[in-house]
Amino acid sequence: MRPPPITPEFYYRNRRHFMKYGTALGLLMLIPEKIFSADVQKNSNYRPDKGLDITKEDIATSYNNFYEFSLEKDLVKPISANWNLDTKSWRIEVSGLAENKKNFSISELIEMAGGIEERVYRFRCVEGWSMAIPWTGFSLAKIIQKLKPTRDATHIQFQSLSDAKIFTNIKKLPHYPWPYTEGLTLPEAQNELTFIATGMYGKDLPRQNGAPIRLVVPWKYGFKSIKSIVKIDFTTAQPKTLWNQLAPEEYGFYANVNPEVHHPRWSQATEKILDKSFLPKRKPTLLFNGYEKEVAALYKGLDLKKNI
Amino acid sequence: MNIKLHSYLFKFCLTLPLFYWLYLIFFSDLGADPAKSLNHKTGEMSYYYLMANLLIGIVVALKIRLPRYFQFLYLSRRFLGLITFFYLIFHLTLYLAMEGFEFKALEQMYTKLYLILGVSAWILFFVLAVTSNDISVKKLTLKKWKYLHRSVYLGFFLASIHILKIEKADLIKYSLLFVAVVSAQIYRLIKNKKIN
Repeated sequence: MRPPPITPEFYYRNRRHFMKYGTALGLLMLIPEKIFSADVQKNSNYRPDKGLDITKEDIATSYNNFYEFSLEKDLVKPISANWNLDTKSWRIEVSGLAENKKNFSISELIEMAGGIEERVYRFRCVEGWSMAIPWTGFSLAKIIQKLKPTRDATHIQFQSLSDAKIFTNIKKLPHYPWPYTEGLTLPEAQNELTFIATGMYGKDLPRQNGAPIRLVVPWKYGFKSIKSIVKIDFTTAQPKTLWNQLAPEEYGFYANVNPEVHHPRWSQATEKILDKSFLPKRKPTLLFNGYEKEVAALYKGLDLKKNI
Repeated sequence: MNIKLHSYLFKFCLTLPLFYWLYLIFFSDLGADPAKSLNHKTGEMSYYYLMANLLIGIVVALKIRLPRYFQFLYLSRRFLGLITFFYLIFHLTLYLAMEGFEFKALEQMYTKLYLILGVSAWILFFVLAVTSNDISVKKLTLKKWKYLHRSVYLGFFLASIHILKIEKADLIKYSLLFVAVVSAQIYRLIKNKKIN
């Protein structure tokens, strides 16, 4: 029998340092990361509405529809906490009908866009609730310009990560056409409002809110604002989208917020403003979620009741 | 302990969820949309109570002999039904409150299928609850009263489809429960034919 190995003095003495710095490092990790959200300028064109407060951060980060993690909104945060996310090695593949096709890191995209800004947008879920959220990121139009779509490109398809090891609920929903996909027409994508968010509330996007990079289309129902994007594809036809494939009569391709077009199971005439009060205030839902001035021109001549 | 005491204890236990909900409202965190979360809980609990009631119905119909201390269950169906309806009052009131007691909510109730089913079931259970007393049995005669109260099975079907139409997260759980109750009823019908 060999004698037990003796810990060399070097390691023995170093244990103290390890404990000290290790603890410090651990504490540092608890501070929310601000890799993609440092030095943010507030865009004064997109301030919160009068009389409508910004939703409390803990509501916006604990009430999430993210089916890849869970169907229960309040379970998404604790389950997604297990995701060992490395935002620095995250790549977004740009493919299809564009000249500048390659895999971009998030920093590269931010650089292409010329930096990030903060905008407060109203957020309306198809389920009938709404929030007001300060997003940080950049206008999608800015990077589309640099990606140079060809003349044939008419639409953009976005695709989420679909790693079943991270998104543990995917296996429990085998009838869903994973990965999560969404799409916009090119003019919609180039609208000034269409936003790529890398953060919210002045911090990097939390996992449950679609880290590390997501779409935000404030005049459409929330499910259009796809999370955790890994691929952007320029196409020549209307792309397939997850919810539209699953239930086309409930979730149209356009999915513009419209108080007169009702979901088969509930009315869209009003919305609950979530603020944790027992009976949240309601307000009438506005066409295009109140962004009519900015986006109505996109749908000239289109019957919004047929093209849901 | 005597059987009567057992029965009272049982009845008291049935009201416990009510205290739990009150606790949640005043001392705990019901999440970003508290009323909706509570509405879900009241609906869920009344469905469990309804299923428990049907289960006792099977025990009675098949003349299964329960241990002495559980025999009070034979006579607890009426109380169980009443407390179920009591929870359903909360369920509907909360729904209406969530919709801001607006006319629009009423419109939804007869245009959206899951709400049509829910409201129909609610009206049916209301009728069963108000006729759940000895005076009604006398007025209707026992035969007619029994006939009327058999519509609890219709109510169960309406409530089940109401849930299955709207539920997403626990769809599998509710489907299994539904299948279990229906299977038990089929078993009871077959077995009952043999007995008679």
